[in-house]
Amino acid sequence: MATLPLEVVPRAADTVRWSAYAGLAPAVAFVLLLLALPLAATAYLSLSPNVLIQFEGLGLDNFRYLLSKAYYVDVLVRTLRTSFLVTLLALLLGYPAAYVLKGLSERVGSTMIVGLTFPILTGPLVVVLGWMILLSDGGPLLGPLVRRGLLAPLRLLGTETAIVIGLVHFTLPFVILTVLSSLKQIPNDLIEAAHSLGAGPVRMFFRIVWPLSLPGVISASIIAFSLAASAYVSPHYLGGATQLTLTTLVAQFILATFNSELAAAAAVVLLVMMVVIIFAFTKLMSRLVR
Amino acid sequence: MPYLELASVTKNYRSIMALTDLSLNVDAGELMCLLGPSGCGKTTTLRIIAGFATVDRGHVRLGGDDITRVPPQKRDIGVVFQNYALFPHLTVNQNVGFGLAMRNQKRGEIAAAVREALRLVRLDDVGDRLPRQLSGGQQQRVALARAIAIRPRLLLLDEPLSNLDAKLRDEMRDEIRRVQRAVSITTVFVTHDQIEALALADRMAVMDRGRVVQVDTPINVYERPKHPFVASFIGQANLLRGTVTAAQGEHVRFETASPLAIVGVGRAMANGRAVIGVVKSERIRLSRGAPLDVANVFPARIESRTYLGASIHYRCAASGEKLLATEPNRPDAVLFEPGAPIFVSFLPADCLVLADERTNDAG
Amino acid sequence: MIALHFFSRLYLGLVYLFVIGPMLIIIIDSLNSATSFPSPFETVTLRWYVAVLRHDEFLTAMRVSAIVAALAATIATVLGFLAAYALVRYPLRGENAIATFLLAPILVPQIVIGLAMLQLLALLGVQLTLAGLVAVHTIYVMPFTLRLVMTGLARFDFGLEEAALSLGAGRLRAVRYVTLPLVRTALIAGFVFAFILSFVNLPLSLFLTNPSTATLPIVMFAYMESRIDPLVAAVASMVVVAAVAITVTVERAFRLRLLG
Repeated sequence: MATLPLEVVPRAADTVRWSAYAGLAPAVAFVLLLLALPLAATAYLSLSPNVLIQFEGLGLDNFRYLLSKAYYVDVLVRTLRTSFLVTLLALLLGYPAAYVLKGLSERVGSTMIVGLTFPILTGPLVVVLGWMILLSDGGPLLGPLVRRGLLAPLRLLGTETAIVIGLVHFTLPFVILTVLSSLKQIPNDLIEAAHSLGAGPVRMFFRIVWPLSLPGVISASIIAFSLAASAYVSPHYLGGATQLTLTTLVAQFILATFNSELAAAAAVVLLVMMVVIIFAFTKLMSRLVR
Repeated sequence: MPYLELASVTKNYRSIMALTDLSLNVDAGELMCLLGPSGCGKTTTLRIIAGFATVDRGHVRLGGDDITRVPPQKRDIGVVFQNYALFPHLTVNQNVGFGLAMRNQKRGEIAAAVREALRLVRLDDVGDRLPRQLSGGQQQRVALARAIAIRPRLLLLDEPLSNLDAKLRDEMRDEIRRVQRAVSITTVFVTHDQIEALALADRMAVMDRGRVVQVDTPINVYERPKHPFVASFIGQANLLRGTVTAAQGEHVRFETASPLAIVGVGRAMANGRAVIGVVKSERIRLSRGAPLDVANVFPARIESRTYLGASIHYRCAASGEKLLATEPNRPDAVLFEPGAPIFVSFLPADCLVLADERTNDAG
Repeated sequence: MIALHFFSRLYLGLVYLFVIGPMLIIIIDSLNSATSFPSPFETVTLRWYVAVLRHDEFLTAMRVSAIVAALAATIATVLGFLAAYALVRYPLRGENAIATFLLAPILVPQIVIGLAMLQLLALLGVQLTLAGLVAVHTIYVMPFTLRLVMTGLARFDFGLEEAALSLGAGRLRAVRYVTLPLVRTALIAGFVFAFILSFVNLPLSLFLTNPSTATLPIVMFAYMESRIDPLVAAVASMVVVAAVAITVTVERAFRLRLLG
């Protein structure tokens, strides 16, 4: 923007008055009052004494408690483990799918893109209900196999595997769409130039397409990781009370244990974990895009 | 009293001085062209007149009223934008009538005014079409009709012809002139194309780096530039730099570094003063033998020849000085070959001697 | 080469089956006359849908969800438009920081958004009402409407607004007669997307509902704590069909607009 010749006038550079900021005020106030302030309340509670852990004033005792108990550390580790695994799997499955999608014709391609948004729009609750059916040993998918003795009962529901399957399913459309949009941004001229210089399909991919799609891959990873770490519905129904993640732990603290302060502390742990990892991912991206 | 007046207008864009102490007067009913290279500030000036840009110092007056701080919607100025800015979701009729609708006129009155404006720009039968269904030339006529329909006090045109192909450009140029005369509206027209400016303007203002360098009729700007910048920007001129060796009356003798001793016409100047001699390329004559009755004759060599249909360009070198000569393509014209030794000549009257501002300032 | 072509198409098809599968299963099982769940398919029946239409709790919940979603989507679209306009139209100081701030709610887990609101209201001693619910839903969907409107405005030629000004329209009228009609697509897309996202959301509402403000996902959640049966599958199918129908309709409408 700074290097445009003077004759191409910058957008409304002259009419910036307070009225410009006025448009922003309602939205900013909204987020401040209804998100920032509540989060401050949560932070405050996370530092406060409660039924289980007594201390004076404000302190980190709640966090010390959570991080000292193996049970809760397990929950944290499980959250990290599933989130990374989901990200990896979603990328492995989603990148090739996006690549194939890119090669389709306009009409077919855009119809399929719309199709990808359906699971997002119907919401995780509906979709997870479907998985509960599909993954149950008596259901239409596994049932016939079990009954005929081709498969031992897998008892998938209530395992971490089920959570991973559910979350991969949930994040897959986002990953495919993100990667697809970054693949589409690679100008066709580059592909044609590479062809004319003698690049076969394998080299074309590894030397040209993959490197240029890397920013999109990183974006997709960040999105997948965030979604997986913040998901509630899948872990709740597919993991059950035995395989808790940080989100379901927070819910358990509120709905079962009735300990608001520990719930707040778990929420803060989740937020901090996400911020740190996303920050690291973003740094990685800027290093790659240079 | 001038109808439109810009008085000492200064404008900065984030520490870039876009306009410096710019003053300009436009008379009622006049078509004034702002001409200059990219970045000279002509569009900024137009936007200031329209009210889309504010001034840091100075005033804008229209018909005696100070409109410097008046918002654009209250200025009653019609604008034709470079990309026409037709409302894509409205029909031609709705576009042209938009300004009148904003003034809350009655539907019948609006319809009549719209018909009138479209008739004026010679566009019939397109009233119900959408802009994207029109050709470039038609879109421009609609833009013009829209600006005129509100019967504004002033009409501004921002490089309206630059998006059209050459033939259409000539046609629309004449159209704009015709319409402007028909409604006798004071008009300011911005362009970087000097042919357009010379053809359309009653007067033109040549701008450079935020300043108006010369305001004059097209003939004066072309034949009698007052400043080296104008001389080099308008037409195809050769600029010969040198220092004054003698001056008598209106004749000035100066010597270039090459060295060439040249006689031209100009204001009285002291010896040793740095000057630029401006010779239009069509005033340089080429001949095989040296002409006897001309003061400025120099041996030269043809470096290249470019055939342009109606004329022929020759690039020559005379003692290290590079010259461009334009010969009309007449049936009896002699075609010189590249490398041929020839003589270049021009009359003193065809060499305008101007003070070289830059060197004088630096010295 | 042909083999590659075939296998790549096959792969995409399998991925699609994976993605759409659960939704199809839901619909199929909601038509199953068998009463236990899950069980092999017996006969096609619509009786579960009829049961839903007689089930007061689900019907009330649908209404609550619709109201909350409509309110949240409206507020989010209005706030989003105002903010997007300011961000795109003017070069403001700190605009990147402000934009990031407004888009940040996407990164906060929904359950934490709900938790935070619950805890703030508890600290302030305020009761849980529909307002709190609408507030968190609005916060959640606003980044989406903001993004969509920003994209729409980025494609808009603000020179058209200047043209309107030159013709005598004040700033408000210029926006109303020129800008809004031309970014209508983005606004509608934003609203619809926000509505749907809010309607189907569970974690946001988990801590903030009371019996009178139970949304459909909450009621389904409570129901599913004790049993999974074709009834809830029927409700889920209705959501699927509705969401798909709305999306396709809106998509078609815009296609036509873009082509026509």
